[in-house]
Amino acid sequence: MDVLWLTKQSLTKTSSQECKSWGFTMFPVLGTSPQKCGTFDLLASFDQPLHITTNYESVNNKDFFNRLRSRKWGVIVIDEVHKLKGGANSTPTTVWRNTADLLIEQVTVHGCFPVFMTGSIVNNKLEEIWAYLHPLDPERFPSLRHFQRTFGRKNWVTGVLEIDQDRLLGLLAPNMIRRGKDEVGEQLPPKNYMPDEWITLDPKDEITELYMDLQRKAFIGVKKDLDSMDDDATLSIGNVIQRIHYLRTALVAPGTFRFNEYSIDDETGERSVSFIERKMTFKPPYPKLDAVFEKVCELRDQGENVIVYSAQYNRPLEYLYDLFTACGHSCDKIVGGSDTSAVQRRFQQNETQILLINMRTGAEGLNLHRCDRWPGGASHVVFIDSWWNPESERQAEDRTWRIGTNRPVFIHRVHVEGTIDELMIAIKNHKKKIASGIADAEELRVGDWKDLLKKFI
Amino acid sequence: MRIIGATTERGQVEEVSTARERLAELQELKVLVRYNQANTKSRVTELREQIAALDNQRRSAIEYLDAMQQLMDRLSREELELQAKLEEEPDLTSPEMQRALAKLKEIHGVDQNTGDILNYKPYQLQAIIFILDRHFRPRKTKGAIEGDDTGLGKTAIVAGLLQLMENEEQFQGASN
Repeated sequence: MDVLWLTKQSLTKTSSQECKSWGFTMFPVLGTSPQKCGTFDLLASFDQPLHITTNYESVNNKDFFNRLRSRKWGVIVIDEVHKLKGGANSTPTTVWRNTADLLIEQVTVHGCFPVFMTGSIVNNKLEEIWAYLHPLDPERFPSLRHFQRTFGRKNWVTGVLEIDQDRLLGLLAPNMIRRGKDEVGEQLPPKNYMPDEWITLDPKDEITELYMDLQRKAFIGVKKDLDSMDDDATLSIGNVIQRIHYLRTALVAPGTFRFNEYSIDDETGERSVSFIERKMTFKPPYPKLDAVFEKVCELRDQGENVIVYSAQYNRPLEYLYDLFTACGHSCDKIVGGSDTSAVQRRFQQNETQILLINMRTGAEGLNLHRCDRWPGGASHVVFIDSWWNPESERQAEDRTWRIGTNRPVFIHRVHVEGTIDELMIAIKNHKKKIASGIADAEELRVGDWKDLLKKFI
Repeated sequence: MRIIGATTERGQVEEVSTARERLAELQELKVLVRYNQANTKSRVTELREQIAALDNQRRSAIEYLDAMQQLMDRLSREELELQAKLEEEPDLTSPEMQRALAKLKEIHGVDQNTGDILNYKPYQLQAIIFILDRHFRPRKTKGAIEGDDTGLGKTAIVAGLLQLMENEEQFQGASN
């Protein structure tokens, strides 16, 4: 029986190793596309069932995709299937299209059995579920429009079309198994959220002046828009998100920071339409990163191993890596292109005690908890900054809170007063408020954005 | 004049006497009417009370009927759900499932005290059986979603599942 296992690139090796530890051999197919094709051909030449693990993006290469199509897969496993959400975009992604084509063909023509794995059914909006239900059953879920029409329920108060979750879950029940940690009777040690640590910027610091100037300029146009806006007016959310992104970067990414600056008319206070590209250099001290450094050192002094997450930036991790290494700490990092499997093994074996992770690469599929199976692992997690989606952060936290965890887990967060951190917390809390039974987050709507921004600006 | 006067006086006396009789009659009538009034009022009150009591009884009866109807609906729904659940329950008696479980015991061993399969926790075994059953007895939608919470060992579950599926395929191949 041929088995194809699709996963995130950073998990290709670790998934194969975990399968092997459970007695089922999967071969990781890695490298560039020609290398992958070569490995595939070599493995296929043996007179044995083909068991391969590769990354989602492999299907984008025509040669490799044709090789995948040429086999009759008995099982296709898609790990973290919620990542396959590109089908719900207005223009579906190529990865989604090719994966869907491959699955539909294999299931309908060759009788393949698909197995989807996911710890968070949906990340942003419920429509994303359609993106992976379509390849599972194209007859029942033929199009996104059909999905919305069939499972949509108009909320007459907000005028928004909501998904009828009960109906959807009822339909999925024969094919889905979903249980929480409490339901399976596993008594894990508690996960504790420590009180958020708030630091204040020193007005004398150069970085404070630069950041505050940037923050003031970033929202000038938005404030004017919000003041004159009636309830039906629309807000360019893409524009707002871009500004928030600038400020988040400026707060945690040391070094040179590039951004688009709009000039402000002194008389009218309005922003110009055109902009000039500017760069700003943030020099040490970096108050937030220094606070994280101190927090980690404090935990290390107590003999604790620590995982530090950045929501999406490598630069703060590199800065902290240099700092920890210079102070004699044994430290590792997982960013794009890292050998995740080797880093995980070193951390489990206690060869490293501090692990710096970019959440976009290492929030899923890793076992970094304290347990009886290895001497290392961590029970303390520190977040440098916030991600838009609480569900992704929960995934990251749960790298240390897994079956077998033998110690309580502690989650720490560091924020800076009066900065974009406050808005990010408000956004996350709002998403939690509108959390639903099937998912933990839903997209923010224009009205929500207006309310949140009015409070912040 | 006297005669006339006397006649007139007599006439007046008669008139007064008649008037008194009439007054007495009227007073009697008044008493009677008052009595009747009071009687009718109490009867009306009594009837009203009876109506209210009957109305309450009617309402209670309707509420009872509603409750019965709801109970019937709930029982019918539960019956349907139970039927659906029974249909969805994995068939542990099928030969292929028996072979799969025997293989799992062979690979991972059995706890002599509890009878549990070693290495796999009961909920993990439950997931393996659930997905295997979907493989052996496909439902309308083919395939399965392992949507357990993070950290419950999904990879271990799927690895075990693949082992058993391959084993079954080898068995089928050999018997053919």
